[in-house]
Amino acid sequence: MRPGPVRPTGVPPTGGEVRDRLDVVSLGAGSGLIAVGGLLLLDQAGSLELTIGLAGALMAGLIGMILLLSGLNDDER
Amino acid sequence: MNEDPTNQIPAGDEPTQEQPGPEKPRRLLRSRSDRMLGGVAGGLAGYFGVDALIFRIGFGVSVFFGGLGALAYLALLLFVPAEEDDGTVGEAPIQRSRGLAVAAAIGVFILLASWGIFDGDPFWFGGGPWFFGGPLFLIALVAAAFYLLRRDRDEPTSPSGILTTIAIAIGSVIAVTVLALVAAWAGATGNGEPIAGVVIAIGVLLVIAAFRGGARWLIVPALALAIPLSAVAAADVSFDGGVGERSHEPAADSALPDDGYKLGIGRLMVDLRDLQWRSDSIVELETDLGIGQTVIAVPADVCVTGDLHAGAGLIEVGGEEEEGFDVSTRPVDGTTATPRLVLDSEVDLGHLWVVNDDDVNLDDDNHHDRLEDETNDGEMRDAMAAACAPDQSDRPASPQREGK
Repeated sequence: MRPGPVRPTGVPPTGGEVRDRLDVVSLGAGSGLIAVGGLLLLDQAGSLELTIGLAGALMAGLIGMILLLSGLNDDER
Repeated sequence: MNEDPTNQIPAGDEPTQEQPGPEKPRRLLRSRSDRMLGGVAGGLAGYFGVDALIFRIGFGVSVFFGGLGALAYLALLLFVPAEEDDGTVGEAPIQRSRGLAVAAAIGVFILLASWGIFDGDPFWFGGGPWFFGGPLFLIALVAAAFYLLRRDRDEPTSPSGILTTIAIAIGSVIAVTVLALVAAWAGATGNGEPIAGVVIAIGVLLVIAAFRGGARWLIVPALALAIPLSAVAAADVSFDGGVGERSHEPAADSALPDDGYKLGIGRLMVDLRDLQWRSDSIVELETDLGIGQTVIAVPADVCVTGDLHAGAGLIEVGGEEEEGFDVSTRPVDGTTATPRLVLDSEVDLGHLWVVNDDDVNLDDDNHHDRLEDETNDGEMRDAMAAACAPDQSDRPASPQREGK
């Protein structure tokens, strides 16, 4: 590995370093959970009728996405 | 180890801006320097000599037109190797990690299965006990994926370390189970809104934490809340009526409750064979069960009709059965045959069984398997067809019954 540039203490991180700290798995899972939670909230409030087909597909898609992002992200580290 | 000679660039011969190396074959690689997610758009831009923004917009827009672009992006992410920092070409992610290959395969499988769920006839719920054919299979897949993804990491070797790991694993499973039960209970008792709110809050926390290194452990409790709540919400499960086993044997129409029989979780048995059935009797009955089994027994010469519904599970009426999600049936709809039982029966999750058999024993300790053995679907089917025959005058008179 080629050594990275040395950053003096106290200097704020660059955009590239901040982007390296971005955890795509947490981001994807969080976004998916917000969407699923929103649909569940609408269903519980009576504004939406969640069917078994839709709920099953949503959950399967969410889990599949998290698994894939997890696998991809581990390899990219 | 990558043995493809085209993938290796000899040491000391690294390509630079000044030495483009026209003799080297052009190859599509995911960009290490120009990347937002996986470097796919940057790699395509470098390969085709255009701005990466064009590909990023293309992938983004395509998501709203069937998602083909997203699948293409995913495929490129999995199968196209990335350029390394030292200029060499690495392996494609799917070649580099067994865990990733398993995760990708499971993801594709889940995607296909979810399409099956959309079609209303998921192949993996078709055979065997419906409950163990679906959700538990999915959970087992997730568990297997986690195991395979984690197994290559450092593991404790000391006895105390192993015991600690086991204790943490057991504690985690118990905690997740408790969360799942709380979510299911809240949803079934009409208090699911706070649980949905917690799921959203965890999602927001995850998004915020993603920019600070991530907090993946939050995913597990969030799923433990979201999955049971969505299952209960989608199946319209209600726990009104309590939990346990209820057995009712009304002897007269007047003994039937106006609002019917209800049970939250358990086994609801209604034996109508001791009712005073006359040749012109029309009896209406309502039953409502959250999770479990409803058994309604009628004499063999009584026609059964009405509305029967199961959120997820199996409905059997007079030897005929239907199973799956959101199952509704109206047996011999429109019949005028008498004596007749008009049902309005609901099972959110489980088995709704109408038995037209004079001899079968419905004692409390007569469990499901024995009940199945004692009944004959063919005989019940024939009896129901005769009982619901349009011309009742052709039907032989009912024999005098002496109870069960």
